[in-house]
Amino acid sequence: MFISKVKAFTKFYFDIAIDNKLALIFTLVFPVIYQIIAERSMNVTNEYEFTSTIMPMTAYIIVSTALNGVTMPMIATRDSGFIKAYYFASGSRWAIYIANLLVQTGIVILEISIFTIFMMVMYTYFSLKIFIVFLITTLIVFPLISLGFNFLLLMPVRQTSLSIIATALLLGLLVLLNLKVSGSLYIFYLVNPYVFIGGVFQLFLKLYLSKLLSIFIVAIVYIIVGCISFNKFDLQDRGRKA
Amino acid sequence: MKIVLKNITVKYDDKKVFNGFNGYFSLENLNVIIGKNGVGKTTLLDVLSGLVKPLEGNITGLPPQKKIMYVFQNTPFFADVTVQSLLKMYTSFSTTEPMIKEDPKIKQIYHQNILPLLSSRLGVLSGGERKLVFIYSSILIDKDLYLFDEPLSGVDIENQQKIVYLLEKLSEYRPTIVTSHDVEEFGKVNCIINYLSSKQIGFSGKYDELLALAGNTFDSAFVNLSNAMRNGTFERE
Repeated sequence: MFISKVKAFTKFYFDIAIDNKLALIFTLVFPVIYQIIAERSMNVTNEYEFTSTIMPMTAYIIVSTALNGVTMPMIATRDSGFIKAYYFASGSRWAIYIANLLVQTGIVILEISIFTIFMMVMYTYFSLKIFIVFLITTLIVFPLISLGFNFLLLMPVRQTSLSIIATALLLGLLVLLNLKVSGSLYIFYLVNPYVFIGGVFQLFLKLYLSKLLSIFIVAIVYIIVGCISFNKFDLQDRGRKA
Repeated sequence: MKIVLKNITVKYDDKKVFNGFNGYFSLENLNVIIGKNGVGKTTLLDVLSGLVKPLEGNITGLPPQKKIMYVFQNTPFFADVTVQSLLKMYTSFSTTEPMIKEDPKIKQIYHQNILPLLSSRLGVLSGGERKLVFIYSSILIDKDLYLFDEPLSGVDIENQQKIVYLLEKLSEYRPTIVTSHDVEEFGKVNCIINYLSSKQIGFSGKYDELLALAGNTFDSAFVNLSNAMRNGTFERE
């Protein structure tokens, strides 16, 4: 029964996504232009050089799609009354969320595929293994990062502020990636989605038990935060908030 | 079977919409809630549905939130979705076939009014057609309580009649509560009119009883009732 609700909403969101191809293109524009301008002259001759060159923008695509494809539309469709209307029809808020998550997972896999192939052509470095690892990493991290961003659903954010917050988070977290932290601040470094993506990717290339443990803990944090936040997510649109 | 509200208090932006509200709905008939603008008709449905939690008071007789169907005055829609897709989606939400679907008159409404629109996108339908589609879709899902907020607003007379018929038929199968400013069409079917104030349901009875009590026409009865409630000269039996 729950599966049939998810299927119904997935078709719904898929039809909408097909109509909104511009979003897919737009997510790729910045990373591609960045790579062309900032990193085109990089000499890529091996797996390490290739992955470290394109990893930041690959992670950007994943984080951007999670924020702009899952979290922000959840807030926007709540404010439009969509969520509550279809919650009462289906009896399940999670069916709505998971359906959109599934569609956006498909979209981000497509984006990563296009971006990775484009970069391989640009740097004339080809590796099927790296391509597959990028895809598997995306498949694993994307739902978890989307869940992690669910804490934003509890913030009293107006729709007009959504794009500002999304941009600030996208770029701010990317900047924080390069900050060296230690001590108690290290936990905040670990939960940075960019760090998480890089960590999961590296695990597929070389398994470190200590890294596996920290990745696992961060994943659990994302899941707990995500589930609690979405269950507490107020379905009432802001125009009618008591 | 009754829904009973005791001592309900609800605030919007520091303004108390309900302040110690007491009332009940007998669910054997279609219940139509009327009242002045801003009195809290929609808020009452929000409270019954669980969308809004009262600051004080309690409500008994409600099914779990998942078993409540709440159709809003303006249901958001995606313009490119077809009526057929919408119906298919709504049908998939129900584990059981609602018995109302087999009603001959409901089938007639489907064949005459919904079937011709199946391939149409929601965005090209008129407001009245879209409302009819959403209300028909909602009755395809088997729930324990149905709430409709202003189902007749922006709808022409012909479609109003169809919607009222749908709602009356639905109430024969399941408890149904609606809010409305347009009451004349409801006066032609079997329903209970409930006049809402911030403290209580001032009047609850048949349409003819309302006219007999407060005026010869609905408009005069409504105005007279409102004045009596405001002046405190009316008390529910």
